[in-house]
Amino acid sequence: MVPMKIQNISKGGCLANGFTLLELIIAIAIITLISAVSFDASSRSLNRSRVNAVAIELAAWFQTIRTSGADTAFCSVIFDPDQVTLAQAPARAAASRVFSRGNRVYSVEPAGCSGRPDFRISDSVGGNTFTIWSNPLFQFTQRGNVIQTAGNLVERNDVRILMVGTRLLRCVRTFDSVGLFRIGSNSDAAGVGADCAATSFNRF
Amino acid sequence: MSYLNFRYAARLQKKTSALIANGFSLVELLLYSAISLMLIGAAGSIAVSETRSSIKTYALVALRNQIANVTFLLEGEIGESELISVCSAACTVNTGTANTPVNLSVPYSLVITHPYAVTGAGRSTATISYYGKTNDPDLYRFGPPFTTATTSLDPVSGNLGFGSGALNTGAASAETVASPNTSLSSMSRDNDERRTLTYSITITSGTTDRSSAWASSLSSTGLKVRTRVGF
Repeated sequence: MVPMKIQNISKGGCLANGFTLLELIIAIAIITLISAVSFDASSRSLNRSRVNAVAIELAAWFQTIRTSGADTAFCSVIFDPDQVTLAQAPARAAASRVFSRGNRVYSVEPAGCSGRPDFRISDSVGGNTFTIWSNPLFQFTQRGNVIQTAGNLVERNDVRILMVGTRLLRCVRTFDSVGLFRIGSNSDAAGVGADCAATSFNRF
Repeated sequence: MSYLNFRYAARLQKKTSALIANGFSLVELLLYSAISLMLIGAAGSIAVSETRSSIKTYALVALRNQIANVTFLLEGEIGESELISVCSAACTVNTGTANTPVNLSVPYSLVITHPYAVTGAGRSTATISYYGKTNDPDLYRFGPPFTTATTSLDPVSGNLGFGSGALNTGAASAETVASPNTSLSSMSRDNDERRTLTYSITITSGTTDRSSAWASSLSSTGLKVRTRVGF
């Protein structure tokens, strides 16, 4: 009753034998390779998203303070406020600190300059930590300028954010006169001392 | 009835067994592959389009913010000035001092004269120049830096003031990039009163590759601003 062809296959064909050990090893190797490549790509993509998120949130927070500066005498933003007070900040040099989720990176005085009185690393970064290099003090005037050192009117990368354990660096560049913040990137930075190329700004 | 069922079941078993035994034919395999590729291509195309759209939106919002920042700065500076002058071609701006001028040839310039009073001395003026440079996309500013001091505007004495952000007339003037990838154009000053400036502003994202989602440009034309201090 059973057709001859099926009989033959079930006796000695591939259905009866299944995979050979070699086929299985090759299949597993290919699947492993594809998984490794896709995991690496998605891990890098996730890291990029997280470091971008920190830079974008920071630039947006600066922007809100710049806007509200028009209603206040001037607003002062202090880097690492748990270690440095507003009175101490002008005498400090730019420095780097390591921050993780929930840590306070900046605070603003007076507190009314922003709906958020401080800038903290958000929960969206997961377990990642960041080395942030920054000037100690930013002051936002009613004219909309950002002043860091009296009489100093230069553009520079004032804040650098490096994801610890990666080479992903993001720079928040300040244009003092017009009170503008732009974000640049360097995805192969040796450390937080590296810089972001001019061509990378707003193309991270 | 049961005989028919038996025959149908037997035929179905035969067909199924044949299919399992034979696998896909080449035509079937090609057809499935083509359909799968089309579906993957369509999904990929939607994802790429979505990403490009997000980038474009972000870039345009950033440019719109930048235009707001630049116009706010210019309106503040012009608003408290007493005189403005514009030049649209083959212009010269002084990036030195009155005693030691350093003349710079620029394609366009906007020069703003601010009055201010020095304590114990007569009225004086400060000059602020906005200009572009040849083969350079940025808008530059040369003039006194800003301070965090809070002063009030006094139209009689001409004291400079804009709340905090008043000009530090005691400090040396400095050149700075006022706004990157920004140019002023179509500048004209009202001929009768000489106190109203009409201008256009164009800001680009700085990306010259037109196929890039980051390549964006935004313009505001016919903007008007008037000096508030009259002498």
